[in-house]
Amino acid sequence: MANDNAKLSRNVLRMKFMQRGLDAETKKLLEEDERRIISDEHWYLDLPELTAKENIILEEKSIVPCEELRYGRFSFRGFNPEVEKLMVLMNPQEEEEEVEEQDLRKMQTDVTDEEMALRYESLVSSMKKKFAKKRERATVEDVNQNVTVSKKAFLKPQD
Amino acid sequence: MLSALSARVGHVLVPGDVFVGQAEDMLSLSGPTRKETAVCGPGLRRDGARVCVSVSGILKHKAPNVFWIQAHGKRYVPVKGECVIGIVTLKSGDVFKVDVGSSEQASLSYLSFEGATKRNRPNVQVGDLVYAQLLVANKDMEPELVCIDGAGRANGMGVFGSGGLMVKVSLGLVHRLLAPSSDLMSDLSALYPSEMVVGMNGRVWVKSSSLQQTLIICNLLQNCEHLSPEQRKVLFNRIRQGAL
Repeated sequence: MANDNAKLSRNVLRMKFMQRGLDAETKKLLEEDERRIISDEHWYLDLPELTAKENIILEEKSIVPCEELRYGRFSFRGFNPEVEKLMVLMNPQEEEEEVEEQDLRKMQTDVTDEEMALRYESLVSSMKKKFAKKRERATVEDVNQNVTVSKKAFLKPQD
Repeated sequence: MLSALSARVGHVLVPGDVFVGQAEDMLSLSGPTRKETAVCGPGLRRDGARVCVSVSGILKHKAPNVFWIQAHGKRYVPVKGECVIGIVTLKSGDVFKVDVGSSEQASLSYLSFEGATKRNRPNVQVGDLVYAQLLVANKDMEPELVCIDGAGRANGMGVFGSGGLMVKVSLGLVHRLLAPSSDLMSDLSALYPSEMVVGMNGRVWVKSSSLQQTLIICNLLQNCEHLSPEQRKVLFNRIRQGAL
């Protein structure tokens, strides 16, 4: 029966059945030892701190952003309509100019304020006529003519 | 660094020229940090804290802090994100081998087309012209092409055009054609109704309503490299009058 603790391994000594015979103090000492091994420092390597060098120079391999080159497919004078559509899509700067042109075109075909006022006036009068009662409609229609007949009041019959 | 670079804008530089960060840059770090990052475009290389020139050409500048070397060359080096014209050379299993003009052939998977699934394969044959974007392009790996963008849309990429003619052009001319306000492009567009695809690898495909017009446009493209703007205008006038 081996009673020499020195010959038993550390892991065996840590097992529960080996701890029952120990005193409370030795138990505490063993626990503290274990905790000391596995502390936060356990997870960090012992290396010197590397300082990131400040890069003031960046490398750019492609010439496309430098010279702002355009999309590579072209179609001229309507040879290939799909490619013409692609040209518009893929070149962002040309799109801005086209938006401005569309605005200008819209200004020309837009209804001017005067036309709008005239139309609104005639619209209002026609809507008014629609909902006017019969007698009022007569007066409204006679506006353009010369004499307007005054409204006849009810004459009580003399008896 | 920015001041050193801006001082040489417009000058001709050769490989071996070096721009060193000035002492002012170091001092500014101690005070309120005002980081002025310089962006090195193609032709310029970062070497520690210095900028080295690796291609001979003219130093160009774009506000606020972009510098690059404008060089004339014919050989294309694949760069990620650029759209190129490739010729399909091999169809092996699920992958097409495409010749892009670089030192190595690029691979193009059959699934990187719009609407392609394992059952629904794209109709690509050996010898077809493909307009594709480089997905992977570095000196350690084989270049990879795709014909869709990140969202899965084709955006005009894929197999194009039957007919037409493809010509090889220098890279300088390609940059000139694709520049945002290009006189050359506006001249060509006013000439005939035609269609063009310009690849960043120095290949241009042209198609017009008749074979003669196509040939005229191709010849114009190849000759325009060496013509000054006035000579070019004279030539275009002659063509418009129908002398050629």
